[in-house]
Amino acid sequence: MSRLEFFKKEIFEILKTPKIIVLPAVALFFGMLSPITAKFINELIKALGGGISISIPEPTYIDSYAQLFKNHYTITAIVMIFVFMGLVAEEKQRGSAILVLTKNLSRLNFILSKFFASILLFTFAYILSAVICIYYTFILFDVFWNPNLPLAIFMFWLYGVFLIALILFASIISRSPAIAALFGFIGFAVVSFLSSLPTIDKFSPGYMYGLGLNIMGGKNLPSDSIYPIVTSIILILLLIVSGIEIFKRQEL
Amino acid sequence: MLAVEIKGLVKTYGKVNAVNNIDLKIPMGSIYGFLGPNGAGKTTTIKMLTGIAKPTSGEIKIFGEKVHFGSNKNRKDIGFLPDVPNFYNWMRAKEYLRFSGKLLSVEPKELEERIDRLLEKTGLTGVNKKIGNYSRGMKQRLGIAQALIGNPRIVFLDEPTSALDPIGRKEVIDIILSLKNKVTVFFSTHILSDVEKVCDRVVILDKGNAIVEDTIENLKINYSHHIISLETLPGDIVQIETALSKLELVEKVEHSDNSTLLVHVKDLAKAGLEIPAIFNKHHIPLIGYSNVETSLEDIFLKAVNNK
Repeated sequence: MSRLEFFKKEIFEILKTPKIIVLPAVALFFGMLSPITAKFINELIKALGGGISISIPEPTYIDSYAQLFKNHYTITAIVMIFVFMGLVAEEKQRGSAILVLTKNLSRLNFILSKFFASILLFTFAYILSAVICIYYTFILFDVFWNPNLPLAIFMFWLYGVFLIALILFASIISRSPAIAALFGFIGFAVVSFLSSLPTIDKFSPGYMYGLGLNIMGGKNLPSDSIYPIVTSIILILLLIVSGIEIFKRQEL
Repeated sequence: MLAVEIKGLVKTYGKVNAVNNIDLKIPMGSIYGFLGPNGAGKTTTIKMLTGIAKPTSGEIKIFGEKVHFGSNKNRKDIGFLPDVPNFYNWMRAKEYLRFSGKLLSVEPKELEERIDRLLEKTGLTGVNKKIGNYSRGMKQRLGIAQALIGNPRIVFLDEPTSALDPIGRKEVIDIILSLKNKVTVFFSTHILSDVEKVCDRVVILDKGNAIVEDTIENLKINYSHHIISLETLPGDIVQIETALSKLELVEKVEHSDNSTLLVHVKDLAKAGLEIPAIFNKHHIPLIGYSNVETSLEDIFLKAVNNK
């Protein structure tokens, strides 16, 4: 068997089901909305404030990226939980996993194919979102480049990959997509909570969202990113390896 | 060579014994019926045979090779159809069979030939809609096709007819019959008439225990209930009933309708001599005489009740 056969099936599944629309559409929407919100939020607040004088600092191009990451950190993450919750749980619940796993397909291949295909979908959506955001930032602010922008974009991508590993793990240990979603939300809440705790926060994958902006704004050094990046990679590996081991022991 | 050899197979879920110390030997090329009521342990046994459930204890060999939980070792020898097959609904039958064949490393040219042959065998040639729009019967037929795509030496079919209407059932039974002497078929069901139509041997399972295992012919002999159906004129039925009841070899006489009696006898050969003689003696016409054939249902009920 070609080792890529099941991976190819996963890619075709993404292309032939609403998955190819949902995540990229959300990413595209926030890619466009974020620079516009950043640019015009002050005018909006002033207009809504009536005659009251409000002093708000002028927005910069960094606010455009801040908006993008903030939207992705919350809303896109929730959409990702819904898109990926059924990765394994749905196949187990429906019985389609039994049919492929009684052929010459290993459980390792089954999980890794799903993991990498999901990363590919997320990466496509994320790149789409970043490119649109950069374009509109340039249109609205006349500037878009920051030497640490690639690092900030990479860190948020890594956070997305961590989320996929977390949701995939939840899907492996769950009997149904709904339970997987519940575990996914709990995991997401725990990571967000850890990102708000002093000392621990700098090791949390969720910390990368604010850190990227701080590095771009000069409040942190690029070298500060090493802790959450290393922790995230270790956690991703742990989630995937333990998920595969659990799946190998599951009766279908 | 045996297709399947099971020794002391046990599966427990907590305190419940789903499968209790089963021993089985399934000859190659046979169509083997795995009979039992719902909850008898049929699906659990098949899942252990196909390596997707872990036995609590015991040993399974398929064509002499040990089956290990989760291992891919015997995959090319095995075809499997679960009780409710579910595919990827966005695929079409041809796509699914191609995907299944590739998972089993079937050569591309050979695969295309097999796909065409199996689509024809299962009546799905020319069906181009997505699997999500298939009826249950069509899914079941596609399930059989995907089980055969790797050209396996044995196919495990778990309740392939139970959810189907009579037409769908007949179609599936015909497909199974066409596999006779080509592939070993291990076929679980609780529909006894299906087993009678296709199986060479059966094992009857009840509450996780294998209670009877034999050929259908032997079972019919061993579990024969020695009943003779006698037809006479309606006006003579009371008189002949009284006369027959007095015979030593007659155990019981029942009315089937106003002109037919069902006579339970101890010895069928002896009855063939003595019963017509009684009719002669009383000058009562014997219009019909036939042995009532033991159905698998009778055997099943007897086996389950006598165990």
